[in-house]
Amino acid sequence: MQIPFEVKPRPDTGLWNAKLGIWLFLASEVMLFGGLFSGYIFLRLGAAAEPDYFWPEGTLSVPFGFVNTIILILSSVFVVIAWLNVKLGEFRKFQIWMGLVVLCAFVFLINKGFEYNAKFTHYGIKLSDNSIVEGHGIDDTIIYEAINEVVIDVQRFNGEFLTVVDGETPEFREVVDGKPTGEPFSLSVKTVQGIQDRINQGLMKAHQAARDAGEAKVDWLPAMGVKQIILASTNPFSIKISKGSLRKSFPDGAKFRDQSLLKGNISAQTPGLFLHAVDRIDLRACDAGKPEDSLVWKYLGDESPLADHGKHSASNISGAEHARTAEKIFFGALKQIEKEDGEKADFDELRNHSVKKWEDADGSVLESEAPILVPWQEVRLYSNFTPKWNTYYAIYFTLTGLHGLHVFLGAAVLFYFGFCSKKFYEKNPEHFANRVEVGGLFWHFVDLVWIFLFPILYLM
Amino acid sequence: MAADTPEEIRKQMKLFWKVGIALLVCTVLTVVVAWITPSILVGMAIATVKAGLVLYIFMHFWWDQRSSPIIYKIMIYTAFFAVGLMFLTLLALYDPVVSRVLN
Repeated sequence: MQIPFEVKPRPDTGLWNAKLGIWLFLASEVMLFGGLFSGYIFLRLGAAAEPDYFWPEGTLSVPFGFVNTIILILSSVFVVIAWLNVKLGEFRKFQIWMGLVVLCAFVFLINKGFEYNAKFTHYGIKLSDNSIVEGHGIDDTIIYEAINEVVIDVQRFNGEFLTVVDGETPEFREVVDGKPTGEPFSLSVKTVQGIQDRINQGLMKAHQAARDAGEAKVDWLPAMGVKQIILASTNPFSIKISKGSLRKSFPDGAKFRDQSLLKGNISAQTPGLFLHAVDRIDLRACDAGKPEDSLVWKYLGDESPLADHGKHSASNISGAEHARTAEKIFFGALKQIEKEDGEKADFDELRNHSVKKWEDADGSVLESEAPILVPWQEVRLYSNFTPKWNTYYAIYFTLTGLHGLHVFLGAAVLFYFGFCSKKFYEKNPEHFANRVEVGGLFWHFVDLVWIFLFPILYLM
Repeated sequence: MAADTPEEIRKQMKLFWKVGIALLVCTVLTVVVAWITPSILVGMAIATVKAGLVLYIFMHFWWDQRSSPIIYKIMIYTAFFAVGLMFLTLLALYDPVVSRVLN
């Protein structure tokens, strides 16, 4: 059956089918992206209204965004040229231009990948006085040692902590009335299940007796069963784990995601969160009045725990060496600001500046590799540059991710037209030209969204 | 759209290249302006001009809106709602009800 108005426009609307379809679809896309842009405006103005919340500005690489903009604009030109070549009956030329469009999309997405990766490997730490330090190379390994007691949630236990035991896997004994009793056994989900069943059977019998005596008002319910059991290890053991995979960490214990609580001490080997190369500090929201009083200055400077710790397990930098680097960085950064202003450093600039580069006394420009070690109790929040760190990254990843998806799918469709549709073209070139036009319209819309995304996300 | 003879199509191809170059120039301009003064208004104004070029020329809105006013209607209604909803979020920020209670 021949579908009407595939090639020639319908008289009343003046449009052929696919064109009406794509414009309606693009209208829905405008609403979708319009909603997300509204979300962006809302978040940004909301951040501006908060005195202690700073919208990250200039965190994206402008050259990267600029190149991607150029690539998308060029691909937009290529796609219309390709379409006109179909109309001219030059299929080979059409294929070449379409190939270039797909190539552009590919390069765009590769660039995006680099950009995302840079965010995933860039970390920020918020200290307990609200000062912020950012940089690369985080090490959040935490070692708990002298663990001899474990509290287990019998419903949720999954044995996760057993996989991170540093050294030999310990054996455990059940603790009843504060005393370890029974034979030592090796812990597993199955043994926990066994203990749970045994205890529950005892409880059930006792409950039944009470019920028979008329003391208990209701029948036995599974919810009345045992919730937690306490186990004592035969020998103290230690665990080594990335703090990020713990549910919660305390100075005297670690809680896993399955609610297992291990009681032990944080090892002196891992006194805090380590960041290998600090590249920015932000003291704008800091509680301390003067930059020198902030915790960031303290831990980067002379009072750094690295200084008296000798060597941190994650780095080969000695304490003295570290103190020197930190000193250089701060004097260097300070000098840099003074130099640019021609006078004493502006307080605000000092509170929020990049410390990646500084000029040494002899005029040579050095790159920063200053590490910082923040004691665990001073870490309020740490994360890579993802939504957890800032709502900016939430809206950034949503907008650019959705846009990237459009680029990918649009490129897939255009690739299909370019390289898998020769038969269609030979059968009905006019109809094929209309298909390409519709694909092109979608592609232009993707370009149009980026035209707004680029200045909003990269430049403002 | 209008161009159907080979001469017209070739003419249009030239136009598309010119518009492409104009878009590239505008992109450079956006970056330069943002470097001189990070003004949201100027940045958005240039972006709107670019978007207009893409919409009217590349998406041949310029020609299609004459032959078929329905596209024009669809897009006008959509733009109206999209921008309208944007203002709704702004209204939420300066919530008149809450501010009346607080003040």
